[in-house]
Amino acid sequence: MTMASTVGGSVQLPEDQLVARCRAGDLDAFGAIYAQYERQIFRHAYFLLGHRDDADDVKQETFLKAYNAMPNFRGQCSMLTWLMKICGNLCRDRIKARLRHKEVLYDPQTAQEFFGADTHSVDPRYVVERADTTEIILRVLSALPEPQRNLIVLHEVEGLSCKQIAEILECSATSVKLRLFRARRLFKDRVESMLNLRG
Amino acid sequence: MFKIGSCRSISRCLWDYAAYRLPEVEMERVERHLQECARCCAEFETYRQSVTLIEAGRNGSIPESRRDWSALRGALETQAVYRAPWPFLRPSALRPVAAAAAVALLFAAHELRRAPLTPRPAESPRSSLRIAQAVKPQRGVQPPPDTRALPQRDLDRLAMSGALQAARIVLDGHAAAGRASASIVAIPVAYSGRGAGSEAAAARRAAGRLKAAHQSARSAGERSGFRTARQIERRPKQTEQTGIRFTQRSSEDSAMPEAPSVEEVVPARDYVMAGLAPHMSPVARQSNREEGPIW
Repeated sequence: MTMASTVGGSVQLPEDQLVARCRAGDLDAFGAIYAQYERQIFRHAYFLLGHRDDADDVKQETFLKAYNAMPNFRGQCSMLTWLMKICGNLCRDRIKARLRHKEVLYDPQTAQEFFGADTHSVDPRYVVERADTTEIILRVLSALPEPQRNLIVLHEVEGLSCKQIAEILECSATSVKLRLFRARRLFKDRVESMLNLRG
Repeated sequence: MFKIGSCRSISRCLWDYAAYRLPEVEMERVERHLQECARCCAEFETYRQSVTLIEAGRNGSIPESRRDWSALRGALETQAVYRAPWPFLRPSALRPVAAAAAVALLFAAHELRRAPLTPRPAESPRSSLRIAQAVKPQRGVQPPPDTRALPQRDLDRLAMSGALQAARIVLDGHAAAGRASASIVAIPVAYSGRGAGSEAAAARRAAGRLKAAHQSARSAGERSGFRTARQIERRPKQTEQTGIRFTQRSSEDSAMPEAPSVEEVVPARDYVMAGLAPHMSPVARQSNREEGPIW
């Protein structure tokens, strides 16, 4: 898959050439790939895990694994799809580990904003906006099962097509559409119940 | 596509309709249906809220990542430094080797635990030679004439067992040394030593014959009121392996010069190997004959 990547306003090498350089051990070429997809990977992990530190860990681990597995990348799918697949697998492992160990998430920034002494110093409109968007989304997503959460994030947040999601999940596009319909319906039910609770 | 009035087919498109992702024709159909159906309209409202929420979240403030490229590059460079130059020396390739080494170590430990480092006495070639000399019939050695002093039934039993030959050999050694003994020592041994060659086979056969003879003699003695060493001493001595030594001494034993114990003549392990080397002295046989059966 040949695609010229643009990072920082300068035209970079096509993706297949970057991959070839990465295989030869060129860290700068891998840096270009990192700069191109880093934000998407972090956002994907953040929406799946709901915690910034976990998302940071998963993002770094995703690129570390990708660099080590670069010789195995056959180029049958796009780099973004491949990275999303690695990231999704790592997030799934982390969610399972959470369920096993009954982790309690604690985000210092969120706690400071909502419960800390500096609450008054934060702009209330920002807090309300955060609470009405990202926080609600994270809460609703955390209430979904992991496969449906992954589908919603991939399709609605990251904007991947059903074909790309089918490559990531290793299933047919028709199956993706059916699962996506069910995931959307469940997401809508969760949003409805949450909004009813909030009055 | 779908029928205009089908609520089920319309509900499948409500998310895309709320996100403006449907083609123009289908957008108009859904819109017409929503004007007619209040139930689908209420459902669409919830879908619209969900889509709005998702879009707000996608475009909204997501916290910045705290780790950047420099941290990852440092990790990659460190990894490259510690990466083994040859693929077969990498940890992933060494795992099977380490597993095989661990299994071999466990097996070796198990074998060492089973077989001690010191060789078994029965397996030493020196003791095998002694056994062969003690058990193997030797030419030119005459049987002691005073075996006739033994009770006939015991002689018969020993002769039947074939162990008398071994007893005679040991007795010859005692006579040549001028020793006297008032005891009859019989060591029934379940021979279990390992060996190879005709000598070891002969020792095994002699041990088997001797054990059978002793068992028959003991049963006969019990029938005739003979007291075994177990009855006398209450605590029979265990030989080196599995044999039980039966000892009976006459009342004149204290006056007699003490006979060397069997273990002094031939090491106990050789008895174990050979099965038995009973010895007796003419004096003892004579005294026993006077007092009655000694065995």
